[in-house]
Amino acid sequence: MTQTPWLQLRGITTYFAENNVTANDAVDLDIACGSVHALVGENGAGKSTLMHVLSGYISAGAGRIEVDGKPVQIRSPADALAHGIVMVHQHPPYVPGFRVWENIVLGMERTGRAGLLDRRAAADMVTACASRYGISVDPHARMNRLAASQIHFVALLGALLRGPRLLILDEPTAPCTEPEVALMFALLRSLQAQGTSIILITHKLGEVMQVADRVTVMRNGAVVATTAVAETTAPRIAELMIGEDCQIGDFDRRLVQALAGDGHAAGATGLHSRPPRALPTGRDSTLELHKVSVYVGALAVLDNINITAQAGEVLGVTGIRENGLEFLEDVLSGSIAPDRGVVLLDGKPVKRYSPRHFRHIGISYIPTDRILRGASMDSTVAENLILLQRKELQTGGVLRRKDITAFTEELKRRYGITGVLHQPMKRLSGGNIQKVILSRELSGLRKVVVFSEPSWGLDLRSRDLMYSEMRALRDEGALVVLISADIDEVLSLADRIAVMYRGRIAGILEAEDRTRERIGEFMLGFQEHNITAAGERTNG
Amino acid sequence: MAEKPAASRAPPRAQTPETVVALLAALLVTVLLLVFGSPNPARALRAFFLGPFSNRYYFGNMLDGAGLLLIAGLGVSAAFRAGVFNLGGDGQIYIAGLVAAVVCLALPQAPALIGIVLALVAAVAVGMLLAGVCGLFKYLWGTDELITSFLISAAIVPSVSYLIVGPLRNQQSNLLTTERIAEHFRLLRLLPPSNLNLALLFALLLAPLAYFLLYHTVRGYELRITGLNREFARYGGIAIGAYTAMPMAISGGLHGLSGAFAVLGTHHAAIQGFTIGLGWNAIAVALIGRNHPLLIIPAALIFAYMEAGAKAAMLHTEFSFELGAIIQAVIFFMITAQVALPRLWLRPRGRSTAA
Amino acid sequence: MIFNAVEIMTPILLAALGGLFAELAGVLNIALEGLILAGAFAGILAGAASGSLVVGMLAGALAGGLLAAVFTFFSIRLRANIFITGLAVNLLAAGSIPFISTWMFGTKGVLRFPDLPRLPRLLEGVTSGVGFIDSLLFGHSATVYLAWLLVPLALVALYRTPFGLRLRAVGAREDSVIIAGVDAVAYRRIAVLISGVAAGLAGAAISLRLGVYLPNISAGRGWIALVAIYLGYRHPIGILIAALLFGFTESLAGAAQGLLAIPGTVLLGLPYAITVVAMITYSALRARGQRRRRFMDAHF
Repeated sequence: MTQTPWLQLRGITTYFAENNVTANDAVDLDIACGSVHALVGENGAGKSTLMHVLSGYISAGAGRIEVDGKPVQIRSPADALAHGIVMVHQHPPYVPGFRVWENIVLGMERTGRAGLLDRRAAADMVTACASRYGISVDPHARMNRLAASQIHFVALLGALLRGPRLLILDEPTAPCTEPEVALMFALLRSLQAQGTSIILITHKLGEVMQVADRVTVMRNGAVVATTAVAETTAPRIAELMIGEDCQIGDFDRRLVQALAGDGHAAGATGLHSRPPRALPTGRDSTLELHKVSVYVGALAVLDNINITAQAGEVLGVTGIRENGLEFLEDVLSGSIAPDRGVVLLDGKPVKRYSPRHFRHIGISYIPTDRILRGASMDSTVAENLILLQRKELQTGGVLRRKDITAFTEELKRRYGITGVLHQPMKRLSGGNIQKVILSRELSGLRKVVVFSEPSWGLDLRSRDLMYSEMRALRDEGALVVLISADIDEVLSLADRIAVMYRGRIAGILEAEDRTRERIGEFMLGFQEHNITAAGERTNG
Repeated sequence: MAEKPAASRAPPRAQTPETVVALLAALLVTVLLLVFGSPNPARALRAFFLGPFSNRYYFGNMLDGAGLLLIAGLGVSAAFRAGVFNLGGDGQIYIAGLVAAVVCLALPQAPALIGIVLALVAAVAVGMLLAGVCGLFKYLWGTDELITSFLISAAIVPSVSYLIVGPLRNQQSNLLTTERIAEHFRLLRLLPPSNLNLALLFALLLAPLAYFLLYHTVRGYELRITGLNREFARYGGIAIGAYTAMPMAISGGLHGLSGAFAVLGTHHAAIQGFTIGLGWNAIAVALIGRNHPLLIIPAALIFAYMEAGAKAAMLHTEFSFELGAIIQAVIFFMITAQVALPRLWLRPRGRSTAA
Repeated sequence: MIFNAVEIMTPILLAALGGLFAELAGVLNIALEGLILAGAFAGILAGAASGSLVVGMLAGALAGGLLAAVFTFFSIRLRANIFITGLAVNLLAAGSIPFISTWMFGTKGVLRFPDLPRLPRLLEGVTSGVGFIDSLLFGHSATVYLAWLLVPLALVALYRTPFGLRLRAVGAREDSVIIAGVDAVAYRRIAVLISGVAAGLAGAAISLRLGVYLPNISAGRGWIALVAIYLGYRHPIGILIAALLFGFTESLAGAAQGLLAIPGTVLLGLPYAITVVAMITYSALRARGQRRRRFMDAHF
């Protein structure tokens, strides 16, 4: 393994002025020919940004890139492609109305007579490449008919047809089933055998240990360590990801172990074996989804969902993204109305499905999409903070300036928001934006609080703060719903866990049978354990 | 579903440097046109720059024009602030002017106050109706209000002209105009012989009122939030449907008000084409004033000055052409353009390389 | 009447076909009106000066293209608000043409060019024996056939060439093209230029057919074309049908004028009125069954 690195990144620095974030801070990285190089780190560590720089999708503020020892300029994806650098994005962008072959040949079209598109050649090319790597895809299928994992494979095919020397994959297995993962890894090995280098962005350390030669750990935009996979262990990598230099508490230690996939160790230290809490009975609030279905076209993205949650518990909902979590989020926040079924609060069906009405009846909601839904980036921080309290902060329709100042200062202090209240929201960092949203959503008395992917982009300290807020809410008697694709987050916080698979509840796990393995089985659809809290059967 | 967010566009906004650049560019183009297009450049230039200040008549008319622009400009920004476009201002002003004149002509015996109030109310109502339906269609079916408001206005302008030159024409006058409204309906002239009248004072009171409503009330807050991020507004329980239709109606109402004042204060009759172009000028004014009610005051004054200057230049030289539209065009081109200006403070200082 | 409808339809069809390129590339081109006006003015000037209708048409196309280039410079290069710059184009055309006209001819009113050759009529005397088909197909101005020819051309360019594939991808999902190494901005710019050239042709077709230039000769056809793009479901064939519908309605209205004694002035507003009614009806019909679209966009 002492080849001259084929690709060298030196001092790559990327700064986003919009939210004042330095996503990459003087990053160095060497990639050897024909190696599988894993890039790991927590959300927001700067992995994707670094690869976006390398693939020309965004431009770095500083640093240089050398291929074969020669400095190269990568200003656009076209430049990167010219050097054989191809990236498959985490959410590959595609044109919904296009056919598979159209989407794949975009930018490398072949023409036949009179400069017209040669459709047959394109379709044949796609089919040939697909069968070579054992991928099954219909080149004439419409993109918007494909499942998330198929879209990923289509993007991968497009990348392969560009003859990559370096293939960058961003979380490629996230939407995949177990056999699809196996297929993908086999594909990676055969590419590797042909001399293609591969960079694999992932946060699944098991995958790193399984396929990677080397691993680079990033944290807070910087490289923490690069090492041969053979010379390290998963727990060691996890520790590097979380950070060993800062004081890590008991909770973080357990998180480290959980991340490393070391279920037994974590269980032993109590992370997964929170003492089973007696579900509070006879408390005021219940939230029930009764036979809720949502369709997109003919596809049931939510399929006959039945769940009941009660005041004083945290109901976790997990699953792989694109298995219905985002639609559940929309239904629970009133953003969309179910096509079938009802949402009941305290046993009464909600009158209208609008966020306005849901707010009115006491449901608070922290959305996944903070930039578009959770915040108004061009408004001031203070204006973002008072959104839900605007009615309390007015007299006869006129806003009370003094009270607004006092109120917002108080939230800022309590949640440690760094930023100026009268500055635009877009000046804040991602973590502070989430703090603004959290403090706003928790500022009033709410019966129900829905959290969706609340820890994305938060550093550990803010995450801890949020987790304790969540627990405090529950202990005060609120009903908390936590929608998160992060198994460990759900495991450590939720009293009961519903696992979604393809729009259905694959199973609801009570305290005693919650393990990573069980959840994993449900997530990937290996089990259809159709029980609900009420014990009735829910067939998809 | 009770509410659904219609697709929205970001409110057009200008930054300070762009505003200055746009105004300077408009000035430069005007000067160039006068220099190269006029047989007597020196006289044309002097007329352009000093004409509006040369006597009470011109000065007063300029201020009167600023007042009308101010009201209509507030109307434009009411829509912009909520993230909707009202491109039908021109027609709304025109028809509202006619309606105000007709109300006064129909009730010549009515007491002054009642007649004036009725004329204003009718004019505002017709403006609100014309723009409001576009907002309503946008809310109901997502019909693009930018296109519908323009089209409705364009469809109405010829009919208004027809009424003025046809059935409602004052046969005694050489002008294509309706009869003049009764003396007691005419607003007090402040600087005779110019057209300057009470409407300007009213406009100057309206701007701070609009500022207060926009920045110090819950509804103003909700409107601004809706304009900046519809999804966020909906998420926060703001009735975004209301803030699609209402701002359009308010915008139309203010345009209507401007048209009514053009009759009650300025012209005392509806004349063919008498307000044409005012609606577009108001868009320029709103943009120069960055959609801020208080900044729209100087914006209206600056624009009225440029317009009055152009008029003076045309009157004082043999040359006549539409300087107004060209000034508008230059401003529209430049005002939202992101002219590359050094913004060094946004770049980070290079950090030391990690070991 | 059908014959008239086809003649009236032609500029709308030309402008709408060009506008379709911009629309599919993600630009709502509200500058069509001004681009048509520029094409009409430049077309008749060049046509009269050279005595050649072909030169006139080319000049119209060039004027539309140049003005569209100014439009893209501000709206795309300088990232100015596209609607405000679109208005600027309309105002610039409406404001500068009287200026040039006064400078060259001493009037900003009607310009007559008696020496201008008349637009030839093609396939005159050809008959299929069916009156309806005859008036639809034969004996029209040459520009009508040009517009018809552009329908299949647009169809092929948009749906059968790499250019069209990329252009549509730019409008539908810009980043899907960017990651494929394609300069999306360039495609957007070219699309607007195409719409400018087509609108310029449309303008020249109007003025060369009339043989005179009148102030505001475009008479809202740019806006009608814009609406025709939507009514035609953003497809060349659909646009052909929408443009024919507009042409037919307008010629009906023209005929009705004589019968019902509608004042001529009022009639000037009629095309706008028809268009807005069509647009509102269309969106109301379309709004049904569309409520899921937003969530598709949000989640897929």
